[in-house]
Amino acid sequence: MIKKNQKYVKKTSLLLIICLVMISLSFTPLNAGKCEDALIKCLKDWGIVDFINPIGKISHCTRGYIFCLRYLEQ
Amino acid sequence: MLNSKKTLFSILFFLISSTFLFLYPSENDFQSIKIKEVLSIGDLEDDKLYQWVGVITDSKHNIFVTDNMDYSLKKFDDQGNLLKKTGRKGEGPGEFLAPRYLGHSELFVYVSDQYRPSLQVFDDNLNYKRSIKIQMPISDFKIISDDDIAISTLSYESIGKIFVFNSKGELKYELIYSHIKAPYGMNRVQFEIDAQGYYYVAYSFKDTVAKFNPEGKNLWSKKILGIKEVKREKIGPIKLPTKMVYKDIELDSSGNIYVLGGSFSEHKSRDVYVLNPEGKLLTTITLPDSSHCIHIGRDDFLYSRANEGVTLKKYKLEKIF
Repeated sequence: MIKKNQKYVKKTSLLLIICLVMISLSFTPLNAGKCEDALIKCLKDWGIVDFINPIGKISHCTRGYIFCLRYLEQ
Repeated sequence: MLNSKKTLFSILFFLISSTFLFLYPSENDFQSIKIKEVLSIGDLEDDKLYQWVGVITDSKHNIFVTDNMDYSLKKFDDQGNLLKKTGRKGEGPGEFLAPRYLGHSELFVYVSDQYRPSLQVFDDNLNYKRSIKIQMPISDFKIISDDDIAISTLSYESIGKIFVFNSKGELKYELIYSHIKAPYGMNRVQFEIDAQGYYYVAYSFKDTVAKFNPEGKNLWSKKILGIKEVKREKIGPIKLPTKMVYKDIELDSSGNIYVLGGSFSEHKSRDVYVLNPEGKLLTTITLPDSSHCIHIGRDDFLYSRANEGVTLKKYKLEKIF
């Protein structure tokens, strides 16, 4: 019973994270630079694996963003 | 009476010696540096380089470069001739997803990959030898020896640490550069370690360059640009900084420190601040093209980017005393 509950909580929290990401993506500043655009595009582009590991997806996108900030002149 | 004379004499001695030190700086300090281009590899007409990212040189002046566009590691001689190229897109041995930065020991070339949790090790002829699993994203790394690999990482709500791993990827020890827990990315640094084990950090999102002794004691910290704080903006669900303060840090053979400025510099991603080992700003070099990194070889030549990554430039540093 407890295990079932834990599974339910885990699933709900994952869904909540994904929903929060999706909602916040629609409130993006209009004056975003190239790297910000790329980050938003990366965060919007969800594959099946990303639904299992949303934190990994966010980490993947932010690493790309930081590299972009370093490589491109903003 | 005798005591007060002694005190007066000590004060006078201190004042005179400090005046002399102020007027006559250390004999190694130079006034400015002129840069002279001596080599250029790749241009818009050839296919030597597409979008290079990492650069390192060996004792024979060979140049190793990672290329993001063709997922490769390339080796050039000191005249800029391509000697060998290896790698392709993939997750197998000797393959890359996003090849990034390079390290070099007497025997091996080390390559980091943005999306692979490991360092790949190649010999001098770019033959793949092995991989070292590193369970953290690598921001920057330095090869102290084949059994001491120093890594800085991107961390969330963590204090600033450089992790030193052995050749098997086991954590040996940590070098702390900040005891302050910072939001994601704000403790990110590029770093250098000298032969005596002193380490130098340049923050990506903070106006701070600092030097530490091997025991972790902060010897000095410097704000070169006088920036109070780098603001973070909300991008989607994450609050992140949008401008970099410093992009790279390197040392020359005399122990002088070269720090590449980012978006807050007068010439964005072109200004290189040169500090002496005590942290005194000696001069600023302005590169002709913006660059994401700099490398200073053992022969004190400076390597940087041009043409948005299609070209690698090598400059001679001419110090003017």
